[in-house]
Amino acid sequence: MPGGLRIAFRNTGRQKKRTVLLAGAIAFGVLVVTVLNGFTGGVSRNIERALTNLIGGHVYVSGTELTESRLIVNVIRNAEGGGAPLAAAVAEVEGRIAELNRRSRALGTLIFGSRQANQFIEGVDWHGEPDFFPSLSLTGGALPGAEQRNALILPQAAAERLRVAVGDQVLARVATVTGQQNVGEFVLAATIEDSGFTAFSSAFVRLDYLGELIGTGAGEFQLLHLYLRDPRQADRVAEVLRARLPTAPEEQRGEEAEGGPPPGVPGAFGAAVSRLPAGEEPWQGTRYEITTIDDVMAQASDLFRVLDIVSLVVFLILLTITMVGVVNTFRMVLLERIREIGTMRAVGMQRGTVRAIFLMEAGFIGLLGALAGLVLAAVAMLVLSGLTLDTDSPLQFFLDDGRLTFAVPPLSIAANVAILLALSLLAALIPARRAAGMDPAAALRSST
Amino acid sequence: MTRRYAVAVLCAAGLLAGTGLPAADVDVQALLVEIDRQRSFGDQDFSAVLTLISEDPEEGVERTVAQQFRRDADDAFLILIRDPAVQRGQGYLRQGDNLWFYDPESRKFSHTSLKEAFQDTDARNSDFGDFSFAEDYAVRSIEEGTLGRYAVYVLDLQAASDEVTYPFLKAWVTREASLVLKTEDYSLTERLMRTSYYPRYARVGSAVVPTEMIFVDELVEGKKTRISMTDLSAAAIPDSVFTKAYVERANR
Repeated sequence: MPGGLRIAFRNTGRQKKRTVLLAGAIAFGVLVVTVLNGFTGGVSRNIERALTNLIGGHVYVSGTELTESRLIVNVIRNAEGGGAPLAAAVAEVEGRIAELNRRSRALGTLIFGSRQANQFIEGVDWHGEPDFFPSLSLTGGALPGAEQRNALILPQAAAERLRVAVGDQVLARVATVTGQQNVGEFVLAATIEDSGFTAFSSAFVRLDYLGELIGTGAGEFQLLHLYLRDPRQADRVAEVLRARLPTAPEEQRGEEAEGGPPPGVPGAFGAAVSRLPAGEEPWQGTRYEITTIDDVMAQASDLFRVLDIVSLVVFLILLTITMVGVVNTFRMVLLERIREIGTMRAVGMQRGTVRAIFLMEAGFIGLLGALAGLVLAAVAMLVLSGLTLDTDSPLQFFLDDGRLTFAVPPLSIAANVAILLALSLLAALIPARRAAGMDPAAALRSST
Repeated sequence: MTRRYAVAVLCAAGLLAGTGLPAADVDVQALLVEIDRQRSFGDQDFSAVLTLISEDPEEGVERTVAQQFRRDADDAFLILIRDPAVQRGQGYLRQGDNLWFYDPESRKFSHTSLKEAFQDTDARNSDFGDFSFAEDYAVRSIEEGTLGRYAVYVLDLQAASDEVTYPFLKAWVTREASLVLKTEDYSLTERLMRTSYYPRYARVGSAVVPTEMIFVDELVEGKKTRISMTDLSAAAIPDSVFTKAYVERANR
């Protein structure tokens, strides 16, 4: 067989132009699918990182209570007020937690003079969260000091909508956790770059002051955000918390009430206060809802899976077209080498070796194309990732500091190369079998 | 059937209010019950056409026309938007503790709250149904005063439950007829959020209803909403009207 391998390798170089054309077509397919895979992988990673920063963590815990009038109230009590089970559950996963942040969130209306704008307002313990201030990109003003209780940090776009300047007093109309009306007075301390994703574009205020406005007690909050040392542990940590804490029944989890928030799921992102539907079992104390970054990413992940499938289909179509070329090429090769095959057979070469020479030749071309495609893809991704895109902010959400990034999973490279080699061998199989099946005497008599 | 009888109040925005002596001898609970009794239709149904003129310094003036059906006995009401065309068919259906908003575009009902703003105006959904001063509020103080040429009680009220939109309320109530002429609606931090005027009333069946309401947003400069009611009727309304099926059918 080493002799066959040598012959196959030599044959690959005999018709250089033909080989280059075939390998080039294969390389193009590999280039396209690798860049597409790298793009979806990079965007997925960037979105996950952006969401982790925006939402603040990898695992999120919210709590709901039921009032006597069956209003579902979104609050997590402090340990003295009934939040002890949560503290105990969190203690069990403490070793996996890098940082733990308490937040509250309200959908309010900011008012300045005759102008108003709806805005998510997030309460942050900003002097208790060491990474919070460094995560902001200021466009105006200065970060508030500890004494500025009613300081407001506003996304630039919202500030422009309200035509408000640093130092101006801004009113905020918010609803309490039971839906009653309240008004807060804030002073604009700083403006920040927009997140680029409206659903997560928040104004930031002090947690304790927002708590007063929405009617949670001292030391109480609405959301507990857990940053994990290893983000891949998010599901495991969520499982532990779900096992230790009272949660909504399985059938109600994530179930949408008709047009309203799911029963038992609070307006964690500022949704209207809801009432427990008639017929549903009321509960005592706090019921917790635990979600992870993977849950938030689920829809985006579906989209990336579809993109991966589309790129694979494109790859297969390109390969199929290329393989038609490979089949035709090897049929021509067969015709060109009839006498040569006859000679080799006459001097004792086995049928299997003849077949193997053809298949190995196809394999070499496929491998050459794959390697060339991967090198070209690496160059293309390197060039593209070096470009800084001056884009609208929504696209920035998919970028890393204004740049495209690529992440190709090694497994998908291996799978693509394996598919490519299999198809190359399949394309050459029929000509190879015909060559192997040739009668040596008849082949030597052939005029070609 | 409908008899106007109390077109008597000056343009509410121009009223001069004065407060004076504490009204020590007044049975405040009885007064609240009397206000509720006057406003409630009890076992009778009520329907009217609502015209809302909303003025916003940024958005301009918008006019909305809606048909209202109300059945206090079942804590039910239905408001169907007729105009403008872009909102035609939208509906607010209250069934007891539930309030549903119907969007004809998506053909879906979504849960909303009595405490939410009605069609982005200064009116709240709770302004269109029956509610009880006596049950929902406790009196912090009561004083005698005048509002324009009317002798009134000025009631300082605090919410007794989390069911009401505004945690604090000041109400100017005529001493003679127990009609609410004006309210000031305060936030939980006791900041004035809205002033409501009720300059015109009409008797419909056994109840007395304000046929004109003016809501002034005290937070957004120059923003206010005026609501007038016409075609008032206390005729019986079929049960089927207060159903989701009716709201959907009305859009076909």
